[in-house]
Parts: sequence; C-alpha cells; structure tokens
Amino acid sequence: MNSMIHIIEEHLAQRSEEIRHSRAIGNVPDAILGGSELFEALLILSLSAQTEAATREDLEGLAEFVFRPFFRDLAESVDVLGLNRPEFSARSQESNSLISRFQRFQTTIELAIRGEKLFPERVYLSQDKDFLPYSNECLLLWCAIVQDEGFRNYRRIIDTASREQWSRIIQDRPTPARVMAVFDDPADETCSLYYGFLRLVRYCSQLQKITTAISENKEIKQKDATLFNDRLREAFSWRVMIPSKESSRRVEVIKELWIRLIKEEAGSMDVELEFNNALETAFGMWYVPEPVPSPA
Amino acid sequence: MASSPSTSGHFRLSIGGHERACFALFATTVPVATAVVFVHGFGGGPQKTWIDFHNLIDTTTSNRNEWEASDVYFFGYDSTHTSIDDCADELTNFVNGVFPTATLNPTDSAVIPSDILPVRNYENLVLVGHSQGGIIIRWSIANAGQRANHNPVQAPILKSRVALFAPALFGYVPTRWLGVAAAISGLRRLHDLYIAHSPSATEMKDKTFLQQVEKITWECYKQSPKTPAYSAHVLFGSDEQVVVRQKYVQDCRHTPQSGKDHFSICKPNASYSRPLSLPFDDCLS
Repeated sequence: MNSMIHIIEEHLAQRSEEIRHSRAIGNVPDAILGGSELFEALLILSLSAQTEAATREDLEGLAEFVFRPFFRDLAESVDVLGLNRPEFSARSQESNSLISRFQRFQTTIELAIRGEKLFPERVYLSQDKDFLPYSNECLLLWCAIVQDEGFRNYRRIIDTASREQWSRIIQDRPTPARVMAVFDDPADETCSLYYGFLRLVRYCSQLQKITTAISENKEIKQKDATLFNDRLREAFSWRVMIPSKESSRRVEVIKELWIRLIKEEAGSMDVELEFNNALETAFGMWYVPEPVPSPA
Repeated sequence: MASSPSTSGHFRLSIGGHERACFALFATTVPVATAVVFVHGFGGGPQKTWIDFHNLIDTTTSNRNEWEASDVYFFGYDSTHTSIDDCADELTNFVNGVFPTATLNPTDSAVIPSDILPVRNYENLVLVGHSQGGIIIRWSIANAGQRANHNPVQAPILKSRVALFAPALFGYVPTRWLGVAAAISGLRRLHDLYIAHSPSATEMKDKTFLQQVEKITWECYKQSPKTPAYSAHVLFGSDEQVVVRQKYVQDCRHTPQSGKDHFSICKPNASYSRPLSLPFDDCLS
C-alpha cells in the first residue's frame, strides 16, 4: 500500500466517525464540512488510482469502510418519500450542499448515493503515468491538510460559529506566540482563525505550484494538462470559493485583520502592498477574470 | 575511559576518543539488546539536558525491561560553534562506533566490573534528540538515506528508532507578525519580506536548510516506508514557546504533555515519567 494512503486512511476513518456524530447531534454544518472533505478525498484518490499513485486495491479498501458507508448514510437521508420530517430535511440539506459544492459531479454523487457507481469518471489523458509524480504531490498535500486540525477548526468556525460566538472571537487580540501555538494546540478559536487563513494561502500556493509544473512540462500535452488541472481545481475549489455570503464575509474580515497587523508592525505601505500581493497571487488560480461586457 | 561507581543497574564510563564529554551507562544485565543514544540541543550538554535520565533508568517502572537491556550513550558536541552539517557527521561517526557492536577500550585505566562484557552487540538502536539535537539526528539519517540509494550496504543509523523531544524541525518561533505569517503560510515572498524588514530575522534564515532536511527525509520515506529511521516519535510540551511545534507528515505525534515547556519536556523526575517511555512506546493513534 502507498505509504500516504495509509496516513489518509487513518484520517478518513476519523472524519467518517465525526460525520456520524455530527448527524446524530443535528450539527448539519459540521456534517457538511466533513462530507465535503470526504468527497474532496474521493476526487484526489480517484486521480491517484488512474495515474497509479495508488492501486485499485487501496481504493477498494477505502471504499469498503469509508466511502460506501458515507454515501449509504447520505442516501438514507434523502427525503425520497417527501415526509418533511426534521431529520429528513436536515439530511436533504446535507446532500444538497454537497452537490452544490461539487456541481460538476452531481451525477457521480447521486449515483454514489444510490450505490451504483462509487468513483468519479476518469479524466481522459493520453498518458496517465506521466502524471504519477504530480498525483503523489497531491496526495502529500492532502495528507498535510487532513492532519492540520488548526486549519480544519478555521473552516469550522467560519462556517458554523453563531453571530455571538463570532463577535466574541473576533474581539480577542492574540499574540504572535499564541498563533504559532496552533501548530500543536488547535483548540484556541481566535488563533485558529488567524492560523487557518494563512494555511489556506499555503495550500493554495502549493496546489498552484503543482498545476504550474504540469502546465510547463513539455512532455505533457496541453490538453491533458488542462483536463488534469481542472480536476484538481474542482477537488479543492470548495475551500476557496465559499458560496455563503456570511462565511465569505468572515474570510474577508480575517484577511483584513492580517493586513492591519502587518501594516501596524512594519509601518510601511510597501510591506502592506507586498503582503497583499502575496495573498492575491496564492488565490489567483481560483479567480477567472470576468469577461468584459461587449458594448450593446 | 574513566569510570564512576555503578548505580544499581548501569555502570557509567566516560568515552574517550571524542572531543566532547560523551559518556555511557552500560547495562550489567545479559544479554544487552539495545543501544540508546541521546543527542542534546543548542547550548545543552550530555549531562544537563537529560537530567535525570541518568539515575531514573535504573529505578523507573516505565519500560523497565527495555532500560535494563539497554546501554545508554550520551553524545556531546559543540552546539554553539559547529554547523549542523558537521555535527551530523560527528553523530554518524559516533553511531557507527557503537552500533551494532561497541568495544570497551581494554587499555582504559578504569576498573570495569567483571559483569560488564567488553564487547557489546546490539539488535536495536534508539536515537533520542532534544531541540536542535532532533534536526541533527534527522540530517544524519537523511544523508545516510541518500547514500543508501547508491550503496547496497545500509548504514547502521537507518535501523534506528527515533524519538524526539521538542525538535527544531521547523526552526524557532518568530516573535513578529510578519515572521508568523511567513512561517504559517510558507510563502517565499513573505519569508524574504520578513528577512528584509526584521532586525532579528536570523530565526528564519535557516528555513531553507530545514526544508531540505524535510524534503530529503520524505523522499527517502517514500522509497522505503518501512525503514524505521524515517518516521520519528515526536513529543512537545503544551507550554512550548521556543520552536515551531510541527512534525513531518510521516511522524508519530504523541499527545502533548501539559505543563511542560521546551526545556522541561525531556527531563524525567519522580512525578513525570513520560520521557522514559518515549524512546520505546508507540503513540496511541
């Protein structure tokens, strides 16, 4: 078994347990967060199987005890009879959110919920094995993400904190040492926010390096590179392209807090500008410039 | 070698032939199975960093069987004036001298008890590091791992189990916001910006080297995930404020120890026995 799959396996099992628990206590946003992480894993692992960074056996093992039970539970949640009972409505919300976060895979998700086909469709590449080193890099990146509890807490707070909780958290003023301590102790909510935003920047930047390396690899056909990179972006996009206005606003608040801290410390517009540019560059791959409307 | 009176289960000998004050505690039990090598950090030493391992290994109930069958080496080096690279070479030479076979120098003036065998053969090797000692261990292993790609004979150090207390794998904790941003985001641009604008940015300057150690260790691990030396057991204290509290992806993270800081994390005492078990125990997860 690929050594990284072993690491991922452990964390997926943990996520799976958390989703069950969140459902049991009616914490829908938390179950949605866990479900998105699982589906993200499914996309990355299916690419890995295709490029032989992971074996089909690896995936079948994971399917057996993580993915199939997850989708089966989700299937039970769909209000097929239209009973409108609270538990059905909460679970419908969960499956609808999953579909909205991974829109291009709506059919895959629906089929998986029905237990018909577990893995997303292949990306049609001329030479799958040319992508092996990049698949390995993606697995490594995902290993780092799933082990990063502070990063997960950041997203959990962004998505699920009540208004009162949020305003309390945001009024707290941490020290640099406290924020650094999140590496090992992610329980500090305020510091997880400061920490998590920059971890997001880090992971986006790493992903950007991978996709750039693929695009610049002269051995790889441009069409293949585009298809592969699109799939990678689709897997991770829900972490950046946040549809909820409130959550999106919270991300902006954290970003502004960071800019203010850097500005106050450096006392220089240049540093602030450079810091801001570094953030924009890291997120750059997610934002396609809007087409300029043609004159009527 | 110079000797001192034996404690209940181990006999202490200073180790000659090394510039620094290295010493060892040799087990009086037979057979001995394991060599444990302790590597201190920046500004530390073979005695002061590891207080009170020297006495507690003979009285502890934690992993008593393992300690009884272990010879314990306390490696010393010049941590303040020598490069990590040179320290790693020194450590490699030291390990090669003791594992898998160590010979007590028969010309030594010390009186060695008759129950101490002069030739020590070990099956297991454990490397224990604190702070900078952790990065020295990992660099020694990474070097050996790289050489293993071209050499069919595996270096002894690659057979080691690695246990690290508060290792400086990702450098020291920055004290300014720009340093924090650079450390957490890992963005080269922010790193450069920090160095350009911070009067005391030396804490970040070694990051490139540290990243290289991590990268090479990871490459070695990918090629040979069953080689124990590539994944370490890592323990931090909850009050750690000196080094960045992070491990490598493949490492085993032990639950942080509450109430311990960078310096106290590796010092066992009557009410804190956890350091005595880290060299041998697996993490629970």
